[in-house]
Amino acid sequence: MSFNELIYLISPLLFCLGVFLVITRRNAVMALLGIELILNAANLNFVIFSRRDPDMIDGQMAALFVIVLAAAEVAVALAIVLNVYKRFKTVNIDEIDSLRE
Amino acid sequence: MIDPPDIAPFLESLKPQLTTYHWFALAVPAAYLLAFLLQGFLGRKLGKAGDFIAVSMSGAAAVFAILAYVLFEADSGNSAVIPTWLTNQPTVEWFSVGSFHVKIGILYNDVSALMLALVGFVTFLVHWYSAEYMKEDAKRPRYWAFLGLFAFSMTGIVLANSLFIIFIFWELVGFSSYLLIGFWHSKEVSARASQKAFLVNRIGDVGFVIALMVLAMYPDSFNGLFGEISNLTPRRYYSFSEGPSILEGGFFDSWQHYTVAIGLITGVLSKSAQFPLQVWLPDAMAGPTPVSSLLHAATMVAAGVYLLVRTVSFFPPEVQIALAFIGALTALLAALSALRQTDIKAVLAYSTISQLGFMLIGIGVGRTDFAFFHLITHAFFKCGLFLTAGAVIHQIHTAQHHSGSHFDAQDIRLMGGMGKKMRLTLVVYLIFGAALAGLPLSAGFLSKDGILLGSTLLFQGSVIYWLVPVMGMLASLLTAFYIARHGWLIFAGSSRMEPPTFDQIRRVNWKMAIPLAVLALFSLWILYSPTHPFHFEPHFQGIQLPGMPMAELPWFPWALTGLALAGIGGAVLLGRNGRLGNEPNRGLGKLLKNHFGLDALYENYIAGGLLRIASGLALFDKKVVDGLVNAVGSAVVRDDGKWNLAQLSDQLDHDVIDAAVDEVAEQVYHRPKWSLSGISEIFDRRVIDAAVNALARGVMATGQRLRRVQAGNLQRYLILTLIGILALLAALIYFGEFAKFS
Repeated sequence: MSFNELIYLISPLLFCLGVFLVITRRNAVMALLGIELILNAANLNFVIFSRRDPDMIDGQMAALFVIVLAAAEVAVALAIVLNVYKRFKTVNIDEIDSLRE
Repeated sequence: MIDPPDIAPFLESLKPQLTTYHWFALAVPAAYLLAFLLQGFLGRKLGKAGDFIAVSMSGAAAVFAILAYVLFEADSGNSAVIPTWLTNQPTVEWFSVGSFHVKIGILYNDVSALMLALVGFVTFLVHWYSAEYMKEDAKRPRYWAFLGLFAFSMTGIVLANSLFIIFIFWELVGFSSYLLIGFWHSKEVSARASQKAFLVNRIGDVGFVIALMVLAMYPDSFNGLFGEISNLTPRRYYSFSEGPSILEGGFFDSWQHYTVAIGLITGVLSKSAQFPLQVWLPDAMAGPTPVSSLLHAATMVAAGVYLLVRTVSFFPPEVQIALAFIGALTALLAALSALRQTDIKAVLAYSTISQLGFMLIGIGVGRTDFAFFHLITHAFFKCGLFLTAGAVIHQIHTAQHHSGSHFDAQDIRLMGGMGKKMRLTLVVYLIFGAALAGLPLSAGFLSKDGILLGSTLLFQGSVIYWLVPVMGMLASLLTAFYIARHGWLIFAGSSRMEPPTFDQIRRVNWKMAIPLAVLALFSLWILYSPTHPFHFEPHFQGIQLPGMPMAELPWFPWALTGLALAGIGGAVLLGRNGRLGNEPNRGLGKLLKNHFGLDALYENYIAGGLLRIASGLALFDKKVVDGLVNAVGSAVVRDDGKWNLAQLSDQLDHDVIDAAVDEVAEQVYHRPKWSLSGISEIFDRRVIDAAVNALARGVMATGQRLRRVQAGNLQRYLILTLIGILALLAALIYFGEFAKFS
């Protein structure tokens, strides 16, 4: 497998790792880390496929856009986690289920 | 007939190539990075050997840096027309976006060679000292790792030849200093100080980023900004770009030019702690003392001045002169504040701000060479002063431990008489103090003399420009006073501690003493200008910075010496009368001690103002937006009033629809036996009811199953979503929807 083929595998791999983190971790912060991995997998995908067309930089611009989005997302998500912790005294995803009723 | 000169070797010599000194220079950050990784991942396993490894690795880095400097000096001695470093910048392309290329490479010239040697040497001494100072601390691996990262990022700034790469290392320096200042993070004051340093540096980073964004409009401009440092008139710019570059197309004196210059200066003001962003530095002493000494000497705060030295030839002249005024103001304000500090390290912290102000004066008036020289001498004597303070604190702590007493070991009002117990420390302290005060025979005298003389000469023409040398000299007088007060309160007279503690104070052991002695040697005139100890030399011995010859004012060194002696004499006189250290903390004195209330100003008006705006917006959200939503909601479902939506629909249902249904039923029901109603009744019971019941049972059974899905477990939802998407994708692939794409 050449380098050019190999790099297409990195993004799915990273994506799966991110999904695995989100699904398995009980800690909300760890789940957020997983979401970051997923976002970065998407970024990598954009950038890698952008290599096919070096004159256009659409993929790279999209990746930049995602980075900005991810920054905003982290800010909001961490604020939510902080507030969740204040209210429930835990950031364990399993234990926060009061909407069930 | 003369043969045409053979230019092929000359052109060959212009091609970038990695020479021996480049390899040595690159080995320096590599060694620090290796140390960082080693200590970070294996630190706990290394145990006692970890200290030895950390010190020896930084020692190796120092040797590499000095070797590279020596080789470079030997090599540049025989370069003829163009200095080789101008074109010899080994560079590789890192990445490119469209036509935008980011390159990574090293610029190893006379400035960066000297700076790298300085950083490596001082970092090594601080490592050595730390091994003794921190030996009780259980978290040393973390400490070594952070120090390694810090030195790595600083050497990255020194060597990089692109502003973009410098910015990356710039951020790393900010981050690792945050880690080091907050090293004792369980202490509230350290944690807050590290956050403050980080946040204030963010402000400067915004300026830096703006400068980079404007520069990015021009191809390859990140690498083209570094002019030759000292030949400022005529200004020279160098660019290595192909195609249209920053040198063409009307960049100079356009708004872009000013934006870039001001943006970079904002970055420098925060990193080098200059007015109005100097507030983080006095708090930053909450870290371990060796860290303070590194932070205040060769790294971090030096990074800002170093960036200016590299880029200043590119600035518009007005902006450059503004730097001199900012520097003079900062130097004076910080020197005034240092007069009333009672913490042993706070005096030195304000003195650092003040001395950095002197460097900015030097850059602003075009004496970049002397500003850089002052950066070097200051690095040695300020590092030495902090390490001396650390030695005093360390010995008092040890004595407290033995005698079981507790008091603030950093309060100079509680010290006194330490000179009797720590003779060597006193001697080196006097050398460092003389260099700071600017007494002849010290290194500080040579550099400060050059800066102030430069500012005096340049500003002779205009009245308002006289402000800069006048403020500088006033700051110089105050410097001599506050360092003499500092020294007097620590070392002179009789002790103000309880006798049992004082009796336990021992002199420092040789491990701590050696770095102090080395730094003291470098704070003397002897390495810089051995033949002219009382006067500046445009070409410093050992340090070869090309400098313009400067006109001399014969009275100038005498005036500076007089100022320093007056300051010291004043402090000694007051000290003899016992009037130092017990200054009342009110009125003007309180203002000075709190550094003119800048902290309170920022906290109450800028941070407080933002918080007030935020809480105002929260209130708006709560009252107006929520109120609107609630009003709409209650208009729909209100049960008391008549004119709401629910009531109306209820009325409509009752009056119109029910009435119509009743009417139809009446018509149908009163017919004979095989009427429509009879048939429909049977049909209703047998067919429709049965179907509805079956459906209801089915729904209930499904609901029972699905209930488990809706159990409030987020992650189970996620798995189901994932399965759903996968199923959808599989279906799409199966039915050939993706065939289009392949």
